[in-house]
Parts: sequence; structure tokens; C-alpha cells
Amino acid sequence: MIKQANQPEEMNAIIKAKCPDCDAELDIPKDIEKGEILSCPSCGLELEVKQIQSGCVDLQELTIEGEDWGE
Amino acid sequence: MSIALLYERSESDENGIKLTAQQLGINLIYLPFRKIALSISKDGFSATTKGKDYTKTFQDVEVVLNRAQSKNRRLQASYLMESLGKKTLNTSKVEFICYSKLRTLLNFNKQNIPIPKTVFVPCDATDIMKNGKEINNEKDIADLLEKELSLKDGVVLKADSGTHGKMIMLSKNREELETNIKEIKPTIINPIGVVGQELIHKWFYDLRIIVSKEKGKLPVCHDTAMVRAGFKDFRTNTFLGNLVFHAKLPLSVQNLSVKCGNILGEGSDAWIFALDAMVNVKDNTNVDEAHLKSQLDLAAQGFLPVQKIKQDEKRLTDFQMWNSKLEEAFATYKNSVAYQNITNIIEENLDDNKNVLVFHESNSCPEFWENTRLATGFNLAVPLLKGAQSLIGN
Repeated sequence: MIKQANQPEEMNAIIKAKCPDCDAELDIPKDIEKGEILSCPSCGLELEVKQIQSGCVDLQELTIEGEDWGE
Repeated sequence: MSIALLYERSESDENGIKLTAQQLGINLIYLPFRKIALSISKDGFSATTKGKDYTKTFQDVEVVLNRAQSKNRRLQASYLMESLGKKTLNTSKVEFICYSKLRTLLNFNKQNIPIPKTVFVPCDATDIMKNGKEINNEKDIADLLEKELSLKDGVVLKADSGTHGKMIMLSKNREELETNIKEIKPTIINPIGVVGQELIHKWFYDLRIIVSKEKGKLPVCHDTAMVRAGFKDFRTNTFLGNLVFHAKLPLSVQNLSVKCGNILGEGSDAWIFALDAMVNVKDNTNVDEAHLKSQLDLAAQGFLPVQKIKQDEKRLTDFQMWNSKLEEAFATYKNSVAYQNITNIIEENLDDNKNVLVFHESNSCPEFWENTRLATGFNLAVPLLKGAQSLIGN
């Protein structure tokens, strides 16, 4: 989940990213690690951190399939 | 007032609908139906996620295209939206019928649509008593099914609301039947009881037929069906590794399909269904099976590049680029000699056996972008969006 802002100064730093689905702007803690799962606060989609490079975070929606999904 | 796409996750179909809406100049509003609080009280309705208030968005929507991927959530969404005064495609009545294979078949049978003989036993395989002990009912259920269905010819057990071939089991003797019944537990895809069906000897293929209706217009059946084919499993679902082809439908099958649509959509101004049908071919085949299998093997080789692109995660990050690649790969597959040979075999066999076709399921929210659209050349997003448009302001 996205970490909250009330943390020490260094930990407080954020990276801006966009939800690949709804385009909402996301504040991502700088200490995020590859593979972590975030949840878009705007649309609720679960996103995986695929890559962190030069202050940019590559987010990709998780592919989930429920038992009663699809036709 | 506008059209909203209600969805849980943007998979290929939802991205395809968005892309088609852009091409048609239709402005879509997106309603996430996932981590959202839908609140009702004496003060009215509100819809909020952790970071956004969607209440006004919900209020401004007139028509909801219900594409919640989960059958259960879709049913809930349609009823909820209608209770808020929205028009839905499909309606909650349609969702209620299509949710259940049994309910679909009951409606078909009432209007003389050919269906596979189907038996429903409301009892579950296992009951738990108050003292915690179990009562095993599989023998009684097997007796009841055997009275109505021939085990020698094959009995198929189906999860009533199952998808993608899940929990569909074939039994050809008593031991298999009891073992398979024991496997059926009350779940989200089979809330109660056991559904058994005669095995349809469909040779190697079955059909997915698209029917739709816009408000104020006559219902239509698309003249080309998607065909799922292969000998990998008695279930022909593409998720089980079978291949996809297309087949032109005889006029009598198109007319019957429209009748199915009218039955399911009765009372709704606009609707869209993907009907699943099987042909009881039995021995009425038209080519040698060894030849057919060699053609299917060749087609399977040609399908590999398509499958590779389908699995490429770029579909989630660059949909348009991924889609172009998919269309190109599918066109190559479709132009192969093996594909054309198999299509000819299917079309000829279907024409020979058009009078022994049975309808066994109806899908109210079919997947279409990756298979149906490319095999049939028919983009289901178009009737979906036009159906929604037809409901505006009326």
C-alpha cells in the first residue's frame, strides 16, 4: 500500500506517477521497491511496481482473475 | 447525461471498448466497480473511493454499460444501477437469467429452443449436520441423474454459473459419476445443487453466436460465428488450449439465434448476448479424422505467434501498439491454408447438421476483443456502444 506522509524527512520524499488506468496522479514514497503492490486511491486498481529508474516509477496493473470472472 | 463503462479492471475488452468509443466519437465515463464505497441512507446515495468522490459522476450517468468481469458483481451492479434510475446494458433481468446455465435453459426450453437434456438436483453432494457429521448424497444424486441421462452416452456435470470450462466434468460410468458429484461443493460458481446434462457428440467444434438489439430496431444476429475447435478436451474452451476459427451461419441458425435473444431479452429495450451452441454431429462427419487432426496441428503451429502476443504484458501498458501486433498476427494465422481448410470443413459440416444444433449457454458480458472479433471480423464493442446510445433520452 502507499506509505503515508508523516514519516522522517528523507522517507517523506515522493515520486509522482500516474495510474495507468484512470490517469490519477499518485504520490509514491521514494523508498518504494520493485515488486511492491500499490493501490490507486482514485479507482482502486492494484498496481505493481515494475521498474524504478532515475526517479521514475513504472507501474503496471495486476492481472487478477476471480473464480466467477470472464465469459 | 452520458454513457458510463462500469468495470472492475481494464483488460483487453474494456480497452477495446474505450478505443472503439473514441473511433465512434462516443464520450465514455468510467465507473470503477472495485474499491469503492457505495453508500445508501436516508440522505441519498454516495460513491467514494479512498481518494475520489464519484457521487456526481454516478448521478450524471444515464446509461451504464455493465462490464464487471465477475458474474456476481455484475449482477449486483446492474440491480444497483437500475435502482438509482440508470438504464443498463444488459439489464438486471438479463443478468439474472444469464448468471445461471439452468435459468437460461429453462427459458429456452419454454419457447422450444433446442437444448441438451438437462437435469437439476437441488441437493448438494455433502450436507453437514448440526453435530458436525456429514451426510453423503452422491449415490442418491447419481441414481437420480442415471434415471434421466444415459451414462453410456456420457453425462456432463456443470457448475451452474461456471466460466471458462471450470468444474465441467464428463462421466461415462457409475464410479466416475459418483467421484465427480463428490467434487461439486457449493461455491461462488455453483451455489446449490448439481446440474447434469447429456453429452452432445459435437465432433471437434462448437459455436459462439452474437445477437444484439438496439432500442427501436429489430434484433440482429451476426452472420458469422466464432468457432472453438480441437480435440484437446471434450470442452472446447479456448482457455483449455483449443483453437479459434469462424463459420458463416446458415440462415435457419441465425433466425433461431435471434429467437434466443428475444427470449432472454424480453422486456429489455436493448440487449447483447453471446450464445454458445453445439451441433450434435455424432457420426455425420464430412472428412477423415486423421486428415482433420493433421490440419489442426498445422493450424496450432500458426496460432503460436498469436498466443505469444496475447500473453505479452504490453497489452496493459501500450494497448494500441499491442493490438496492432495482435491483429497482424491473427491475420497471418487466418490466411493460412490450414485455417481455411478447417473453416471449410466446419461450414460444410454445420450446414449438413444445422437441424441438430442445441443452445446451451448465454453470455451477457462476453470476452470478444482477442478471439471473437478477430475470427469473425465483427467488433462487438460497436453494437454494445450503439445499444447504449439507443437508450439515451428515450
